[in-house]
Amino acid sequence: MSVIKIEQVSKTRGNVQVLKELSLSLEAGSLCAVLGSSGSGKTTLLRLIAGFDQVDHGSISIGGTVVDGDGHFLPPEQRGIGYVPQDAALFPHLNVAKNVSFGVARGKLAKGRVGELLEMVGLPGLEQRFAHQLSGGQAQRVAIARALAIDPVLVLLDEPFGALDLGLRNSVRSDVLGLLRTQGVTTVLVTHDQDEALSEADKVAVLAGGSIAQFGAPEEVYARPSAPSLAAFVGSANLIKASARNSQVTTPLGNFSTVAEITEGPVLVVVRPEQLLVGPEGNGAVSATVKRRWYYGHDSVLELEVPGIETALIARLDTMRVFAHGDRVGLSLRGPLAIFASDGSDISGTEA
Amino acid sequence: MSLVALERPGGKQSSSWRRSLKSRWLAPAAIAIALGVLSPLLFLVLQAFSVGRSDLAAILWRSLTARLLINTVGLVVAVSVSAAVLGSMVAIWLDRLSPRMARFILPLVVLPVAIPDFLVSYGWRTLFPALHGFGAACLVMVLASFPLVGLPAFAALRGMDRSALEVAQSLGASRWRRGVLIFAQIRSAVVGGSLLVALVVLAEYGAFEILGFQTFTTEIFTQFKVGFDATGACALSLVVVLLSILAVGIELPLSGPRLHLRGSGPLKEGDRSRSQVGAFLGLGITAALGLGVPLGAIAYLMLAGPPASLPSASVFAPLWHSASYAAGAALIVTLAALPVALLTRRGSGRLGQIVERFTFLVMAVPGLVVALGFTWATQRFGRGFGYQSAWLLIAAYSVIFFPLGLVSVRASVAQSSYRFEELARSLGASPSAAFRRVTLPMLVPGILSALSLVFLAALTELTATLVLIPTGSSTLSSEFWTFETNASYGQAAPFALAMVLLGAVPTVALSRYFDRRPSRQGADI
Repeated sequence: MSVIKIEQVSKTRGNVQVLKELSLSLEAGSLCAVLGSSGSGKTTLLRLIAGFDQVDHGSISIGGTVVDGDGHFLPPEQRGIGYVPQDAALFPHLNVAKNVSFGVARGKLAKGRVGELLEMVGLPGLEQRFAHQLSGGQAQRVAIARALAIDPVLVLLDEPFGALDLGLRNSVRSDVLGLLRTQGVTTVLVTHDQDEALSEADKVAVLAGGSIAQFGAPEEVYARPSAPSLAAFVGSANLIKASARNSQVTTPLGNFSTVAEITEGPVLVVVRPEQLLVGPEGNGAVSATVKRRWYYGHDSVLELEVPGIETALIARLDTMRVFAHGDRVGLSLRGPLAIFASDGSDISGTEA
Repeated sequence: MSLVALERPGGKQSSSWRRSLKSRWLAPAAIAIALGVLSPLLFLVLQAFSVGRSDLAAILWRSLTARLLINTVGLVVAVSVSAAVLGSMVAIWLDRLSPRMARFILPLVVLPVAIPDFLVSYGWRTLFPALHGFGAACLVMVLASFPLVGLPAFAALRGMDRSALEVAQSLGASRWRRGVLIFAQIRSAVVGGSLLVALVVLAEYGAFEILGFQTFTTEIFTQFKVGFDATGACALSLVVVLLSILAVGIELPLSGPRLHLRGSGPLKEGDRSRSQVGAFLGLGITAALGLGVPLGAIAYLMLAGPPASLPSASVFAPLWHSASYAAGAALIVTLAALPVALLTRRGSGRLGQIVERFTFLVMAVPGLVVALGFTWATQRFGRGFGYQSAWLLIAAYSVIFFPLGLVSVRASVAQSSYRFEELARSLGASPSAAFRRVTLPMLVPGILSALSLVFLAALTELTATLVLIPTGSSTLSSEFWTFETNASYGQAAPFALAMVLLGAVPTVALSRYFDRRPSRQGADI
């Protein structure tokens, strides 16, 4: 059953239409990452779900009840949605214990429950601290405990790890998201960090142009982008011009047969950097020259110049073999490849 | 406008529930308050219209006006430039000390601004009876007002981006160019402070009267109180207000763009390469002249001066009057400042800003002009009803000190960002509960600060008090003035001491307390 269902929602801010007929529905207990660049409307979407703003058109239902749209509006205090903003925003005049118990009627939350929640987020014994006495990561965990205290049907995380420094980010992130997962709380995580979205979420919703451009499991979104631009947004991608004929796609890096029939004409092939196989010159379909190299230890990235292809190609390979600037290498392609019509439109189901 | 800015919760919002929450009374209340605060200005203009243009011209087109103009403008320029220099130097000296030492010294440097200027004047004239005229007026005003520059400049220095300075050094910038870089970062603080100094000089009456120096404001007082010439006072008031507005107008282009200072805090103690001896010497001399002389004079008069012939009760009765008027004003100012401050926060867009700007305009209206405006209004519209009543005096105090209250409340209101209320609601609090449980507690420091600062400031007000004091009543400042003007300097001393101890000292202590409260704002990074 879907916990939340967003249908055809539009929202205008000033003169800008931020969301355009956006639809999305989430299963109970799942963790969905909404991935979008800054300004794509991520926060607007979250504010609509929380009830801080009202939709212009469309509707939002929670647990089968319309909470916004069709003439209904349920104010945020009646929605039971936990909200965790980017900077935690702990109430500065209250200590940690009072922050955590804020949303619970007095007496209802036994004293032990605050301690329990704090223990759960890994901060036992900090009840008496104030926000200014906490580190960024601690404040973020308290904010999570505060949101969980109301037994929310849904938790909204608005880039909650963006303000943390890099070393802290990964550990806080995996702790917090792991916690939400074990609690079985349906979670929406808004982020512009594709690694965060791909590695942590059950489902990824890519927000572009004011609506959900693609929605699916991380591996699906990565392997079968619905548009060439999304391929470049989620992960990096080489877009190679090719031509199609019958069930054949001819690329400068070799010929491939497609799964389904394809209309004759120019096409675009999406090649992920790890789909380019780099070997010594002579191996592979074509020769290429290494223009630049980035060495990361666990892998390395090459920028390659290939005759017949205007833009340089990006390849990612393990570091068993090390190449240097100016090296001549052999290059071949490893499928499956996503294929688009040359104007970028989807040729559904086509793979080579 | 970028999308990012639009998405920020504090930004422009327009959904309907929020509109309903933004209580319908807030905007009208704030506008009404702004009009109330600006009413003395309105009265002044109405009075000027009723006098007529040719009569005004006849009054103003005199050699007296030219002399007053030269005196006033000359003094304003001399004092604000000197105060800017002294204030900046004090800031630099303070910055050179270790943070602990600076905290210790700071009150000595801040106190002069809280001592009423006429007391500084009185102190200097007691010890140096020959002081007179332009030079004396300039000296006293610089010593009384330089903290208005020094404090914000010091804060700006502390908030300055030191790494920019280090980058400049690594790029081979000379000491001079590094100095320019520092000044660029504290410029708007210095210019803003100098503007306040200019407004203070334009509005000052008591200090110049004691030193026998004539400015527009002293002449307005003389014409009104001695010559009973309301028309002449009105004409001269117009000039003072125009000069004040002119000063505000000059400040805007001078202060430069508002820089976003990304502070890196005070220098580490070990980093201080420059000698601290000069800093201590400079601060010591400044404190001795600004604080030591007036306090020393009062102490001298109390101890060695002519025996105080007054029984102690006579200090307490005026004190009681002063305190009750001041308490009334503090209450009214705080209640009035809240809606205006809330309106600026609640994202009514431009309306809040416009209302706030307009209320700050009253800073350009000297207390004397406020008092005269109210006097004229009671005579014109109320047939004198209410003139020299306690209520009118309290109303005048409220208008005069409204900006002080607004500034105090605004700091807290800015901190209680709207998102906290949103969060409270997502946690199940109704709109009114969210306001009660989250917003109001966060406003408490601002409310307390406004109440106490306005109370203490009103306790020592002189000029408007002399015009509007209720018949048969007396305040600390009016009693002091009666003795002062009758050359009974010794008898005036207890009142001076009371004003320093009850007004100035707590003002500084409190404003420092409120400044130093931990901002508890891990939030807005």
